[in-house]
Parts: sequence; structure tokens; C-alpha cells
Amino acid sequence: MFKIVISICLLVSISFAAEESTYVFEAKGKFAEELKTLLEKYSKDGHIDVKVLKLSDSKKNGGIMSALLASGNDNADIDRGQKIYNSNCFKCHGINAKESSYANARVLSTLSKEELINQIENYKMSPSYGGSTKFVMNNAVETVNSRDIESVVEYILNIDKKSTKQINKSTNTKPNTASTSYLK
Amino acid sequence: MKLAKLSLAAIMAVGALSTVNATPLEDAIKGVDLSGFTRYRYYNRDSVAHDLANDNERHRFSASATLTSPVAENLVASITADIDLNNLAADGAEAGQDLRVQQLWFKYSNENYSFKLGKQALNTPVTYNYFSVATGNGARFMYTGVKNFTFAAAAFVDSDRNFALTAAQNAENLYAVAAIGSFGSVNAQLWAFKMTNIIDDEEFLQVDGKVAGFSYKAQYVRANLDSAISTETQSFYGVQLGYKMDSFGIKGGYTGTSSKGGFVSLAGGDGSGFISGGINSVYEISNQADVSSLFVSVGASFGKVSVGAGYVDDSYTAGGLNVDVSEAYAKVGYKYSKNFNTSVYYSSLGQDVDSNEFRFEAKYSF
Repeated sequence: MFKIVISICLLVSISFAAEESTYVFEAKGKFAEELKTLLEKYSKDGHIDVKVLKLSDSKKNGGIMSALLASGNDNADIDRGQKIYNSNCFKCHGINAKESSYANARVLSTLSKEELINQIENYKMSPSYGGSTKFVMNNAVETVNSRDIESVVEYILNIDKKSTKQINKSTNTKPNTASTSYLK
Repeated sequence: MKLAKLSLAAIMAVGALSTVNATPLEDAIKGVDLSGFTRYRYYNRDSVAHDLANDNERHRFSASATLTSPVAENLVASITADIDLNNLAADGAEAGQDLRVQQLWFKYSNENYSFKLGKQALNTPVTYNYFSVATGNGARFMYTGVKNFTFAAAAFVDSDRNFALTAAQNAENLYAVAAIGSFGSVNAQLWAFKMTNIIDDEEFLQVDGKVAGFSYKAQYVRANLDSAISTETQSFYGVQLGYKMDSFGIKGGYTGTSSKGGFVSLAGGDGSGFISGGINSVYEISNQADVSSLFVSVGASFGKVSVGAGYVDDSYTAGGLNVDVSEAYAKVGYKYSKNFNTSVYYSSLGQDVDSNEFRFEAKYSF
């Protein structure tokens, strides 16, 4: 039995003049897997325009409100992640996430997605978490929400591509994340 | 099997929950983030001598929830509610903290500085930072405009403290300034504090770093208390060395306090930033004079399972008498899922009255 939970957001774009309708569905388990496969096939054949989103662990863990409200355009946004990174992170972790201003801070580019999300969430939720930089880190992340965390982590994971402009800014046309796949 | 379920966003998109003049719920809670945890702990001690709840067996229920929401550009509001109740098995009595608003603050931040106003966690190395964190009503300013450095200044009225140094338990005002920076492979942080009617001045200095798997940390703290409490200068010092390789880690260290006085912690035990070892012995030696504490611990993790063990050998002076304390402990944790963890530990505290404690914990985070 599959344990993964998949939220499928169908953006059925019916282009009748300027009118456009959007439908959001949520499905779980094996049925979701089959539905996802079906939608991907139809999408590739050009029959429909859909966006398939997987509800990631961070949303299950980080913010109920954010997860409930998560629609296609509100999920991990690399551009938003870049803005957050430049505002909160880059001074200590470097423009490419390969630096570390503090002696015992880990280099972000060496961490996995799960490690990054866990670290940020732990620093956010508890002022007692972490080593000597916990005071600095708690201040840096205590106001970010779960969607911000997802976005900044996606940015960090794709930071090299982003810096060389290989990341397509349109998330509708370029699948670029592990937790979120976009189909068109 | 459910074929499909409309999400809250879809429901609200059709305006089902909005009215003409009111803010639609979707807009009202857009960006609102909810996080927190619920936790259950079971304690069993064969001696009540050192149990805060004064009972051999108790059940503890704790929960915390934080709502964080953007209210304007660069401005965020946050509210935290918590509850922490102990059900004493002997007579069924309950004790602890009822549901309350633990924190409520607004924070403005930009690339170089942040300003936080309201009831908030004190969040310093000398105050209690675990669950039921020490809080105060006040303001905190942080400046991060200089690379590799963070500067902070804070002032709190009616701040919490977790000790009974004086008969009066009224909350006092706490003032703090800090400079945290990095110099090559060495981190350093210097804090200075003043607490009305308790501490005239206190300084906390720490240096730490890591080199090829090895870590080190050294601390020196001194405090001049209010003359009504003590005219002696209080001091604490400690060193800690560690080594970590893959999933295995070991650390050991030594701490001590001046024979004239060792009152430097506003946490009154564990939960602050002081170097310490053990689980329960730290409560015995905290803020005591003439402390000598030697500790070592090892830990390892194997997938979802983590194990650890340690030993502490302490001594201090109280009422002109020397007191020896030792503690041996072992703990096992199981990470059932990303959100749900369980753990147990067994601690044997050797003192004038021996005290052995078993604790089970289950914690769900969201």
C-alpha cells in the first residue's frame, strides 16, 4: 500500500474567450498514482493542460493552513525562494550556498532536501535547537512559513542552475523539483 | 475510496465562506502558518526526593501551537499558546500550566536588521529555552548588516525566571546586549545582562568551532549580583570536546564554578546554553558554588533508532558541606515518522538519597 499522499491539482484551462475555470482535486494512495499516470499521458498527448502537485512532507509537517490553501500557483516558488534566500540567508551562507560564515555551520549546498527542511523547521520551532548559531538561526527563520521553507529549499537545491539561468521561470512548463512536478 | 475531495481553497474560491463586506476567509488566513507539537511523558521514580512534582509516578501532557502570519510587507505577527499539565498518579491531582498565551509578538525585518515587539521568548544563553520557554514583555533589536556578525539588544519587563534565589518571586526586568561573530574557524559570542533586583551585571563569553569532525566549546561567565543577595562575584567556566563520525558521536567536558559563588543561570538547571552533562544531575549543581563536574557521553543512530549513554561525576559545596553527585544514564529513541518520535531513558542519580528515574516520551509535531 502506498503511503504517499498526492494532491492533484487539475488546472483545466478552457479557453473560451477570457473566461477560465480551475478545478482542484485531492486524491490519495494507489488511486492517486493511477490518476497521476493517466493525467500525465493525456497531458503529453496535448489533450488537456494540467498541473500535478505532490503534497510534500514539509506541508504535512509544517503548516496546516498553508497546506489546506495550497493551490497550484502557491507551492514551492523558486523565485520567491531566491528572494527569501537573499534576504535571510546569503550573508552567512554565500550567494551560491557554498559558504559558511560561522565555523561550525554546515554548507547548505551539501545537504539534502530533507535535511534542509528539517534544519529550518527545527530552528524555527525551538530556540533551544542547534549549536552556537541557534540564536542567529532562530532569528533568521522564525517568521518564514512552510511554503517559504519549501520555496527557499527548492532555490538552494537549484541554486547553480538558477545562477546560470537554466531554470525556467515558468513553473507551468518546466518540471524542476523533487516534490512538485509540473506538466503541461 | 474517495474519488476526490475539495480542498478548503476550492471551497473558498467559490465564495462559499465570504460575505459582502467582510474579508474572505481565504484572504484572512492566506499565508498563516500553524506549527507546534503535542507530547506525552510518563515518569517513574523510586524516590520523590528530587522530583519536582514530588511524586513517584506522573503523567505529563504538553502541547504548543504557533500561528504565524504576514500582516504587511516585512511585518509578521505570531501567537503561541501552550499547555503543560502533570497528572500525579498517587492522588490524581493535576498541577502545571493551564492553557495560556505564551507569546504574542510582531516582527519587522529587512536585510540588515529586525525589530521584534511583544511578549516573546527571551532566547538568551542564560535563560530557559526549552518548552515553556522563559518569556518577557519587551523588544528585541538585531542587526546583521556586518558580514559574519550579529548584534542584538533587548529589554524585557516582567521576564520569567526559573529559580528561587530570593523569597520574592516577582518577575523582574531583564536587559541584554550581544555580539555574535566568526573569526576564521572560531565562533565567538559575548553577552551582557542586567536584571533588576537580581543581577547588577553579568557577562557570558563563548568560543567554539569544528575541525575535521572534532568540535570544541569553551565558556566563561561572571556575574555581580544585587548586594542584597551577595557581594561575592559569581563565576562559571566550562570546556567541552566532541567528535562525530557518520552516525556515531562522543563528547566529554568539564565545568566548574567559583568557591565564592556560582549563580550565573536564570534557568535554574537544564534548558539554557551552559555546557553541562547528564539528564538530572544538572539540576543538582546549577548555580551552586565550588562545582566540579566531569561528564562523558556517547551516541549513535541506526536508521530510525538512536541510542545513547553517559556518565557524570559532580561535586559542589552547600552550607559549608561538600556534596557528591553521580549520574549514569542510557536512552533509546525511535523515529516512527518524520512527525512522530518516541524515546525512553533510564537515569540513576547517586547522591545522599539515590534516585532512579525512568521516562517514556511520545511526541507528535505538526
